[in-house]
Amino acid sequence: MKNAELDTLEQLRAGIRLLAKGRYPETVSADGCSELVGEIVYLFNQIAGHFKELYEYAVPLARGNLQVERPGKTNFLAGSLKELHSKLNHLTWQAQQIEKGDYKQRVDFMGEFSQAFNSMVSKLEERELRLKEEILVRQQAEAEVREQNKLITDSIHYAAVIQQSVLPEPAFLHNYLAESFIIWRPRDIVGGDFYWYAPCAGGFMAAVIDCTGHGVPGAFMTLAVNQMLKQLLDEDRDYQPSAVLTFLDEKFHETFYANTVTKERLYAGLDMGLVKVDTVAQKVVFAGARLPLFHVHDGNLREIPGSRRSVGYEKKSRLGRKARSVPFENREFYYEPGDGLYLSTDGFFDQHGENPDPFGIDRFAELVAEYFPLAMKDQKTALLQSLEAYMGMEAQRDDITVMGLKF
Amino acid sequence: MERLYRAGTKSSPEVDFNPGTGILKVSGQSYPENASGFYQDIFIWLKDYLTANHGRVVMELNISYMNTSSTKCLMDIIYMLEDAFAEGSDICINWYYSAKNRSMLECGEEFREELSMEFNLIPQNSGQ
Repeated sequence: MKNAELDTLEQLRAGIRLLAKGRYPETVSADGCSELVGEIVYLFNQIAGHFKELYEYAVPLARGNLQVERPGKTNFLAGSLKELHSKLNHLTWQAQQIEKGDYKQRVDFMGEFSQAFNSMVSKLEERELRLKEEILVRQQAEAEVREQNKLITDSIHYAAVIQQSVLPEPAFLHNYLAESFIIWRPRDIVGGDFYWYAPCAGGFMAAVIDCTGHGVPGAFMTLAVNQMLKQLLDEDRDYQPSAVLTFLDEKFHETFYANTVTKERLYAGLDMGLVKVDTVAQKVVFAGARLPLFHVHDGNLREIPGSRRSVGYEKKSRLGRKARSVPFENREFYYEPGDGLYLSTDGFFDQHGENPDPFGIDRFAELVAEYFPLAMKDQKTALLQSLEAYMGMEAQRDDITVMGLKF
Repeated sequence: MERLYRAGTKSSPEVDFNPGTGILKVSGQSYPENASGFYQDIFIWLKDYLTANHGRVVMELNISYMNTSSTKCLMDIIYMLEDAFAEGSDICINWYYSAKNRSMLECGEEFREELSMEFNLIPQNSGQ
């Protein structure tokens, strides 16, 4: 044997050892060898090449890299792996189809895996169908609630038209006053607050009225009370404000507390601030049911408290205790041109903001005095801006009514 | 008897009636949509408590706002205490109000004028 062949054989032995250990030999050279040895070297190099290719293919594949390049057709060792590779590619595509909602996909290789996979797909399909049904049911329910809500809201919006139709025309006051404003802000679409004007001997009467409750129940009360006041006007007597309050109190008991069935469940009444203005004598008579009057004269504001008694509500008749009877009282004073009168329900005073403390009647009085030099319409704007600043993101808590009168 | 506790919400007060100490607390704001519904259980609890208990009862009221129907409910509760007082129970009401909150002070004054039991008006710094 030639030296060159011995050397080549040595290289082959080393190469086979490496292959047995899972490593790759360099290409063996057959230079200077016989044809036989040359062919062995050629075959060895081919097998070593297949193993190298197989290894470089199988390792990335096992690690999940489906993009790895496939070995050529001649590498018979890689054939089955390539088939697996194709199936994994197809499985990936199937999973993508399922992701898009195609639940018809089924897998038919790898025995238990395909069973588990297929069962997962059909469970997914079932679950999606169930969810779709649930969503449909919920959407129907939502649509119904929306429809109901719309009916109710439409109905209340029309109720608001009715409630507003009984409110007096602001132009009425132009006959008697230099300027005036009214703030009327029900908490809901309609409310338990309203305001009232009427002519009387020598001038007019004006009132703000806060009936129990807000929203629809409150609005019911305002209509009833408006009717009671109308009845009083029809009597054509010259009522003093305190007598108006007493009249309403009696009417309230006749109207709402005569029914023995509902009596127990009813808690109906109102707070009211009422002025009677004699524009000839320049005299104001005020009576309040828990609401005050503010009088601004010469830049100074004074608060004239109302009586500590509401109109209506069931008379307390506790055993061993006689019912408390606070009378409604008239407070009289004379005014001068340029003076201002302000009536307000408690909605403005009681409005809360970020701070749980209400806006407060004292803060209201301070602002009225501060804004008094402004035109009435600007006073209204300024008062509302102050209220909104205090409220911040909080919702309106009660109906709000404020009346400003300037002589 | 079991302690009666209700966490406060924006529109309903925190209620903590402790039968062990005899301290009955109501604090926060009270304007629930259905006040008589809210106060009904409280009313029943108090009635049972006043029947079963004969020790000192202190009601701590720290309310920054009450609507009309809540005021009516609270009035019923206070009258129940007043009746128990008239029958010999040792009862005291502490009415806390923020110094800036005139309407709660006036409301407390009105209650006090009508009642014979101990009724303390206690001013507090704002925001408490």
